[in-house]
Amino acid sequence: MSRTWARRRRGTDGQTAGNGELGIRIENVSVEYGSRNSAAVVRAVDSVSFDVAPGEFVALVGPSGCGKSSLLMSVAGLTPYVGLITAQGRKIKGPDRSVSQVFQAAGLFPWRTVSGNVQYGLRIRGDDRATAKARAEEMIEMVGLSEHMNKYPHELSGGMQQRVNLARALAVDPEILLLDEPFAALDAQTREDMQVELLRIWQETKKTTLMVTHQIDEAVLLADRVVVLSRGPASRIQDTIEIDLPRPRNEDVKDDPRFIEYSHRIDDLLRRQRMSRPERRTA
Amino acid sequence: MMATLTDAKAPSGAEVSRRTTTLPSWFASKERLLLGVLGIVLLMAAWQVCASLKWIDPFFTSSPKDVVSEAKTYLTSPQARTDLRTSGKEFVMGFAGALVIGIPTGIVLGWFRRIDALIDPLLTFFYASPRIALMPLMIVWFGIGLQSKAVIVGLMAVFPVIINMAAGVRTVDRHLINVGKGFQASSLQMLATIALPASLPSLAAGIRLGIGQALIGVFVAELTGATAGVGFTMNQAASNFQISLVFVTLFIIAGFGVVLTLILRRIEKVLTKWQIQ
Repeated sequence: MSRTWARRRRGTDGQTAGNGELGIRIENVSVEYGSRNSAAVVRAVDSVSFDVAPGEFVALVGPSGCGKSSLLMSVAGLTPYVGLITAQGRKIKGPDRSVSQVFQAAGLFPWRTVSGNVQYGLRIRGDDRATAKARAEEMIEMVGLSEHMNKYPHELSGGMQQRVNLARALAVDPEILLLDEPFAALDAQTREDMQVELLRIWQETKKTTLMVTHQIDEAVLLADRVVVLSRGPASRIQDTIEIDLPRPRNEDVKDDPRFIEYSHRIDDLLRRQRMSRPERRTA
Repeated sequence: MMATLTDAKAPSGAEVSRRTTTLPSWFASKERLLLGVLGIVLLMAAWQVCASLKWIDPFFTSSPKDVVSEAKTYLTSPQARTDLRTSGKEFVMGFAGALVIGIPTGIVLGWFRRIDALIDPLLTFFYASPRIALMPLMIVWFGIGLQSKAVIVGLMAVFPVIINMAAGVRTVDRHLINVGKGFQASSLQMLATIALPASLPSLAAGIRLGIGQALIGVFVAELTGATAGVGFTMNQAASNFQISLVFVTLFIIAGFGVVLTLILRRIEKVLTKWQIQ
């Protein structure tokens, strides 16, 4: 299969950086995990290929344990892989400066205030205190936490913590944003609020985004394209579904009959995955 | 109708609650402290009663009354001043040395896996061995003066500091390290911005243990080749059956440890105010 689905939608067509194209390119990528010394290596993802075009939002869904998070960790440069992953045309050999990530576990520094957390990436790359502070304030305002600038993470709710996490990831103005089930630990109501919030922020910033999720409605609401992985181990791409819903979207899109249709289709695909290889039964 | 009813009731309810809750709530908030003090008072009272009624022989056990009067005599004597100065010097020098050596060593061992692997067996060996038994050797190496005593104090205190500091650095949350990596932080940057702040509570625990060990060190160091010091005086008093004086010096050493621990708690609270209380 050639990469015919790599559609350039957002007017950045033809731009290249270095020796490759913008966005994320994943080509024949396999990710294995297992202890370094033991022979028991599990192939989580087997020879997967897809692209995320600049400014595109792609959601990666699949049955639990299919290795979608491992794949994302590889794109983040935090897990070794076989094959080729490029971000903004650069091969991923480790964390890349164009990529920011938000993980499920908030990963906020408990000893830093909201502002301190958001400043972290800026300070690390060498911004001076004043610049970092101003930029952090801007980001915190964007996620609606201006009143909580000087609070510590333990004083915030789970939803607020993930807002800080998002602000921290976006503060360094990355070209690419990776999201690993960012709202999975939140309660249903907060999760819905955060999805809408992320939708708004993404539409403002138009970052190239790859998100792993197991919430089908979350994927359909946010993504331009949903990549469905098959059951692991050695999972492959089962199908790719274009979500042809108008932008900008808001939560009303959930009432659109097409939204429901897409959700059903993805649900069907995942259900078929679960059926295909029945769980081992106890004798 | 409803409004007047509730209006009339509200102030009286507040009054009642104010009157009934202030005193008990004051007790409730200080309950642990009060009970702790009560425990000490009860023990002292029991001790005094036993001694007064001759259930136990005050010659061997002294009594709170005798201890207090002995404390007055001792603390106003020039001997006390020399003792406190000597022991204080040993403690401060030894403990400061333990911190200056222990904290960086712990950081290095916690952060660099290979160095840890290299040093760990040695560390385990010295930690498991009775370091007090090194006192004769220390006297041979450093003489009978302040130096050998400070070294023993330091040797006692340094291990909990190293071990806790290293453990704190070593067990930093992997997710936080990944955040640092994601922002392309260098290893040293991650050490400074993630591992060190994260291991502050662990370091504080190590220092707390170190204080106790250092005080043991002060006492033990003064058992051999000393001419002054609180531990020296305690040892002398015991050989002369001055039991009251033994207790006075014991309370000085213990009280010193308690006060230091309380101060450390304060500092710790300020430095780790980000922790969930």
